[in-house]
Amino acid sequence: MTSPPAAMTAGGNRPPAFRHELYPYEGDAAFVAGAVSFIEDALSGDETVLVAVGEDKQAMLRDELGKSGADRQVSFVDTGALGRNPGRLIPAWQDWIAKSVGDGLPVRGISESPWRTASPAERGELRYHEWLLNLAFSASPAWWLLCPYDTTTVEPAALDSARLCHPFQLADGRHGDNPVFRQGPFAFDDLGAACDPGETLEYGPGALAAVRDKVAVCATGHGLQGARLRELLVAATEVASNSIRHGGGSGTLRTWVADGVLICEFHDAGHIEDPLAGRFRPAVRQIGGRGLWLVHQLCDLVQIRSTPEHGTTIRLSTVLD
Amino acid sequence: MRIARSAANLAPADVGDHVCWVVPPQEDFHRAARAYLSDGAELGDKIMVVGSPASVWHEFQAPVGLLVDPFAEGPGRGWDADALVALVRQEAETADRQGFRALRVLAQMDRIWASDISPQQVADQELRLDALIGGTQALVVCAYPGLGFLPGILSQAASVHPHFAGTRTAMPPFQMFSSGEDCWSVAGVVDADGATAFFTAVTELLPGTVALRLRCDALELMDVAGMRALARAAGTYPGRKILVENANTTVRRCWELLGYDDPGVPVELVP
Repeated sequence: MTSPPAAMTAGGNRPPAFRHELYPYEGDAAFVAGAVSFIEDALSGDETVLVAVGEDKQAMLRDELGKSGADRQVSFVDTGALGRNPGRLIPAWQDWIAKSVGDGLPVRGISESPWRTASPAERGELRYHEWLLNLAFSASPAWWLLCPYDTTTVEPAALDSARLCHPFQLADGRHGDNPVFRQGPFAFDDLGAACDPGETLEYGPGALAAVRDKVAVCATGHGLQGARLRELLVAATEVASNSIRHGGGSGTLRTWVADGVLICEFHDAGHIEDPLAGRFRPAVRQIGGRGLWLVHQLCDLVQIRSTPEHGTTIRLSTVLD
Repeated sequence: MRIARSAANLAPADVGDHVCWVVPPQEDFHRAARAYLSDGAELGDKIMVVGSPASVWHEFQAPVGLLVDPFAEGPGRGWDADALVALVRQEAETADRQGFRALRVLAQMDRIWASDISPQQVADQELRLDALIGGTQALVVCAYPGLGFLPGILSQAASVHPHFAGTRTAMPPFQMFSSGEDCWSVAGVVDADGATAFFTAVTELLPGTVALRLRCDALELMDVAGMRALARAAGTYPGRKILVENANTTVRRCWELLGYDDPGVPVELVP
């Protein structure tokens, strides 16, 4: 395993920046080898290391690093507390990095998404999250994020997408540029057809209560209640409010349940230009920019498709227990 | 403890109620108003109409009835800030001394408010009236003709009464009302449709107290617009703060997620 390129270290010629690196590996042994090498390099340079992987991989790393006591110098972060929505990952990394940068130390992270257990819709948003990371941290303090992908379990489409959005890669034991990386718009998956959506509600000014009524009827009919129901109603209110305020003054709502997931689909004529809308924690004095942030925190999955030509479609997913 | 209520008509009105009645077309108004006043006469209430001496009145004469027409002091001028509150207080005490069960009031607001009344004035007056009614043997129906006021005035009025009568489309998303001395209840949903009215109501209450208590047992939801309105209102009068009591877990969680639990925001969510 080679050491990191000089460009990424404090004495390099290129300005320090976010380094987003793909690590395709085959099997657990390769994962441990690549991750431990990365961590040991970091620790030898007195860098802070954050690891956000599944519990099984975490145990492997703890075992291996424990042999030298290095496990005590690594922060294993709890991604489970974030829930299933990849839309919560960027602010989480921002928080983790802010704490470490505050200590004055360079930061490295390892992040492996739960590709095996994610639903198709979640995998689509995980891929988008990887693409957004380059935008989100383009102006951040320098840090290095290694994204391991197990080629034996990750579907080829996800790996192909990952290759396009990681500017760097760890391949054959060498850290370097990724020749396949492309800077360009993200290619979204189609949302797929609505499943027996029933009646469509058209809403406009003064109709937020009607929006909540429609969502509540569908949700309670499938057993959703209490705080989970209220959180969905807040999220639905925010999306409908955005339609009325920014999306041409009106919109449509459809609701249905498929595969144990309640889906609320909103459509309006507006266009969300900022792909990072809702992905940053709002400052307390900030005016605007809170609605989609809150929606991401309250829903199990948020899928946004927005173009000037076709308007904006937002699907909110709530897993029914 | 008072509980917010919305209904299609005045039938549920009872002692201690303060009802915003968004008045339907003229025929319905006369029929419903007459039924409301007749019920009171049968129950032994003293009747007071504040408004027009027109058709709804002539059946209810003294000593059971009392008519006060603000237009007699000049059409469209409106009463001064305390006139309605003072009148209800005085007549409720009189009705009690005279042995009536309660004072039953029908207030025609288009003959009470000045034609250019602001939402702030409506909130201030109605909230003060509500604090009075909550502690007296009176029930007051404030009749707001839908065609007589701007939508902003109607939504403001409906949101500062504990009780509402009218069509579903005119129902307020939230209701703020007195629940004891220096304590106010918020019920329903504070969302973008009601955030302006909520901001106005809170800012009208703040000058009267150092710590404004908002009981939120019956508050279902508050969205971003509502929370922004609350935070803005709290910052309007430096040195004062708002205590949000008994808010549910969703309101608390959203408040924290939006960062409003910052010490610089003078709002405390307390048990």
